Amino acid sequence: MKVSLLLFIILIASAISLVTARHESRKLVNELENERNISTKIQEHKRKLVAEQSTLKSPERIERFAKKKLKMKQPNSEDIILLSPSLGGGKR
Amino acid sequence: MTAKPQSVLNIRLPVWRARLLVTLMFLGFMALAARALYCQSVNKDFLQAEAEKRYSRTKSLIATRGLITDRNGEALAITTAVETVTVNPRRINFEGISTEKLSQLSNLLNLDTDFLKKQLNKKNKGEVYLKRQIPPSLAKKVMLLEIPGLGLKTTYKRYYPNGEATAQLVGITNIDQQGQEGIEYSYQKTLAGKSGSRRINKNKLNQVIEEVATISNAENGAELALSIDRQLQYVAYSEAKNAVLEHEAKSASVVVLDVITGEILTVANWPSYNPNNRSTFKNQAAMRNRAVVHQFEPGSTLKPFTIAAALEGKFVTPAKLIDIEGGQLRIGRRNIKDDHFENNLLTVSDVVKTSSNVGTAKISQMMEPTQLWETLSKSGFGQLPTHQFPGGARGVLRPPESWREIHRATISYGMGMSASLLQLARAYSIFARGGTLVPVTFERRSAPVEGRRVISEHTARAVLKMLETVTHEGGTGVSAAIPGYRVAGKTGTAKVAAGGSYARGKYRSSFVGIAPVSNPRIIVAVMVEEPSGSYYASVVAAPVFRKVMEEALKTLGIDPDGIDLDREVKRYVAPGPV
Repeated sequence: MKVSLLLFIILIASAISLVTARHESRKLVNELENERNISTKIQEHKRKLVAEQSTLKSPERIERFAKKKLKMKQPNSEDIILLSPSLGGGKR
Repeated sequence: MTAKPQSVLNIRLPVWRARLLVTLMFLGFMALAARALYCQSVNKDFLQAEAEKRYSRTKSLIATRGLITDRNGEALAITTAVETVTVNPRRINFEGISTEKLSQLSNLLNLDTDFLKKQLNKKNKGEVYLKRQIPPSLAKKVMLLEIPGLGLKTTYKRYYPNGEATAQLVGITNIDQQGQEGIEYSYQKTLAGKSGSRRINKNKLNQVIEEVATISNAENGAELALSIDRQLQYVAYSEAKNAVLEHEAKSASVVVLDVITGEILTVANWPSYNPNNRSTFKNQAAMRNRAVVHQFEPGSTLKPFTIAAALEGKFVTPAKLIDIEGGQLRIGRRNIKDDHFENNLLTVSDVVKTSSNVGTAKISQMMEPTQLWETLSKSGFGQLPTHQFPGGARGVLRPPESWREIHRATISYGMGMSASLLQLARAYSIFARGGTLVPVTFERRSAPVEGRRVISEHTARAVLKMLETVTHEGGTGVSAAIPGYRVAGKTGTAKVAAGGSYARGKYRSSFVGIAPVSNPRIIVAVMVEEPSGSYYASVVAAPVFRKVMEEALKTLGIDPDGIDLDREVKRYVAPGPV
């Protein structure tokens, strides 16, 4: 009689723990899926930022800004003085 | 009143009532048991399938297409998420939307209000696409309008930050992310990756509660680093564009090669198109990568190969005098003429310097056709390209057995055979590398590469020396000279063949050059097709070469090897007005 009571209690405990474990597992799987989604979103965002950065750094845009905003221009060959080690840097 | 009061408990109920109750309960339980048995065994498969349909889903795992970068890791093509606005007309209560919201929506999506009304009224459809591929930031604003029935679908789109400058090179994908042109096409397998799928169970709230099985994992596409230098590509592209606009030409192409590694640093063309705007994809001419796909008669830029073949066969020496007979040579019924004529006797070196057709033809007459053919063929002319670009031109070089005398003469100065600009640029590597032909690639390589020997080192040096005189006083390519550097190169001005004969007034102007001569690092090839007005290579192609080569030398950090000390010192002492 005592043994069967003990077994009964163990049975109930095991049944409850099974249910809890399942619930816990569902919660964790759901969390995992959410984290995965966030990771995908972050990766997408990163790619968007890389694309944006690349557009902002594009040579075309830099040239446009240099010419229009900063009023810069390409030097002519007459404007360039070439220095050579054999010319002796500092001295004339 | 002696009667004993009857207690309720003492009421004796008829026995049949209890029995009936027990029987009924027993029957009830039996019915339940029978039903359970039926569901569990007989009808099990059907019920389980039905249940699964309600909670189980196959989730597809999308593989992201790989990034294409230039040699320095700058993005050339990148996959970005875009949203598609969908609407379920059945769920939308059309009257419930205020006109204000509707006009806001039409403003945001840049769609006509009448069109919107029509789309929202398609009651027979489950889902209608309102607008495809809009940026996520805009999609957020649309959703903030809180119109019921409006939904978003995330899809992916290729974005090309450099737009027109790299358009024909990088190519495009179709709407399903499959490579259609250029690098996107030829590296489709590498870039695409593999999509996967996973079986999951969902609950009523659409939350994932169980992962049943992963059928296959998604593998993202690999990143691809090209040999291209984005900065240099842009400069070459804008110079090609400027040349076309300035000379009212049909098209222009520029190729830049690294002599040591065989990497293709630049392939630029004008006209071009915007790869980020599908409505510009109609112009087929603009979508071709002319520098790689288009084959043309190279003209005088081929002369150095004839000279190399003659030097190699010891038929001539650089100083040998050639009589150009007044700049006219008659072969059969054809007349070969020189554009510039000053002197009857030219050295072999001067034949190159002044680009004499007659001189080159006479030198070719000293050799057997096979000897010239061998040098050309070993230099890659008429050979199938080994690089990875789709549709790369092979060029035409007829077998020497079918050459008649006139063919040997015309081929010696680059007519009656054809090649792509990339082939031509690559062939020049034999002069830049001391006689070996470099294998070219579109992928970043960065290590020196072995080439196949075509001519001896001695011959290569001799021809390079002659090519250097072209950019000196009296040569045809003076406008290609770069202060501070020693530059070798060759001009080419040729009539354009059209329908079996040469069209009047239609020319092709080209220039191929090497720098710095003391230790060659870069080859730049330029071709401008059908310039109006002045068509000489010295005026049209050489200046483009100079600008692109200057930029290339700067980009690769190559030290000047030809500083004119006197000139610099004079300028340093007496600087001009500031």
